[in-house]
Amino acid sequence: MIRHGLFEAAHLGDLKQALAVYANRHRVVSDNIANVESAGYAAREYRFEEYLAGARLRLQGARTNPAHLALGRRELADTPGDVRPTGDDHDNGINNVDIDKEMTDLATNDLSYRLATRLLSMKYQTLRSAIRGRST
Amino acid sequence: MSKGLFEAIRISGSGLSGQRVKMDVVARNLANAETTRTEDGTPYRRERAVFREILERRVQAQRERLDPANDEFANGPTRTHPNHLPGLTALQLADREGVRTEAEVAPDASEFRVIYDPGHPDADEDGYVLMPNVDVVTEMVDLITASRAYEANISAVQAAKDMFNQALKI
Amino acid sequence: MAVGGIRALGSIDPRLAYAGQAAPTPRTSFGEQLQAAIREVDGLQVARDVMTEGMVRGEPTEVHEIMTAAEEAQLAFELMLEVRNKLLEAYQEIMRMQV
Repeated sequence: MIRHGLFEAAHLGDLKQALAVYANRHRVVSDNIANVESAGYAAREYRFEEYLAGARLRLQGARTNPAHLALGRRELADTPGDVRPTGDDHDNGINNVDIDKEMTDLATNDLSYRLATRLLSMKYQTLRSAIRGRST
Repeated sequence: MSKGLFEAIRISGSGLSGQRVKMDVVARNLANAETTRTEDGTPYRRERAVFREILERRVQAQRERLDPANDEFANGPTRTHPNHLPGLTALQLADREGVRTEAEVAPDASEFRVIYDPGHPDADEDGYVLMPNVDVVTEMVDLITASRAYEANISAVQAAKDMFNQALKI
Repeated sequence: MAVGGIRALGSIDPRLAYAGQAAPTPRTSFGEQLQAAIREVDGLQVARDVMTEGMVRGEPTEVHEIMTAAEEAQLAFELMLEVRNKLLEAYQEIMRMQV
């Protein structure tokens, strides 16, 4: 009852999933950085946003047949991320890890995580205010 | 995935990679400044890093990377009826990633230097030796340029990060 | 010396103060106005949630836009809360009044 009425009604799911995605991505990027000098290592990436087909469309296609793919917006919760080799043709002399790309990915991922935690904490703050009946 | 400041960071990141390639090239040229015999018998030929904007190459790489058999979105959502709205294909998404820079390594076509050194094992009958077309001073200048450009890109990334963190304090 | 009419105090009446502006139709009840305000607060929160989802989806979104939207939604909510508290206080004050 509390789970449904309080947390699910507050649309916290998107942000929670985002945090999971960023945490996974951090692990993958750290892997790449740790293996920058490992012979035979292939750079990997965590793909998630790519699977949200039509991510820029606000339209939602009606599905009259279960064989239809979800057209337009795909639900975030239905979308699993996965780890794949990047297939980059970068050559650092040992493998295809591009340390500068990994470091910038690390930075952007860190910023995404910060933004998501900030938004999530603001939402919890609003919930807390609503429960207490005064601004906290 | 172009998102304001993130895209700026990615572009700076491509600049960092490019400058690193340039430094690698300079290091190789300096190490081989006196190499008179390579595998194919000629002196070492100087390499140079050429920068250019990339857009098509990335899309091409994305095209090769996406295997339509394995990726249900490689060709966009299936349309069984002409009234169905078209979705964006993964390729179209990749297409919008924006312009970056990339350094390519190309050989320098200029003439080899010729010095007179009859004692040199690679000297011809007249005592002349073909030396690599590497000028150490030019390489040092390139090294400093690359180093400064690398710092500039780092500053750009740092500025974007600071802006982002400031925005988080709103 | 002409003494200004006491009528000038009529401008305290908010309906007169807003007379020249595009004021809401004078016949809306207080309850309706309250509901409209609450809907507005809800609208701000929905706008923030839509932007948040867009960010998670990797759509082009600017940080400052999300942050201002989130902050505005929160401020609007707190304002609503404070108005509610003041109304409750006023109601209790009236209830305690000796007739």
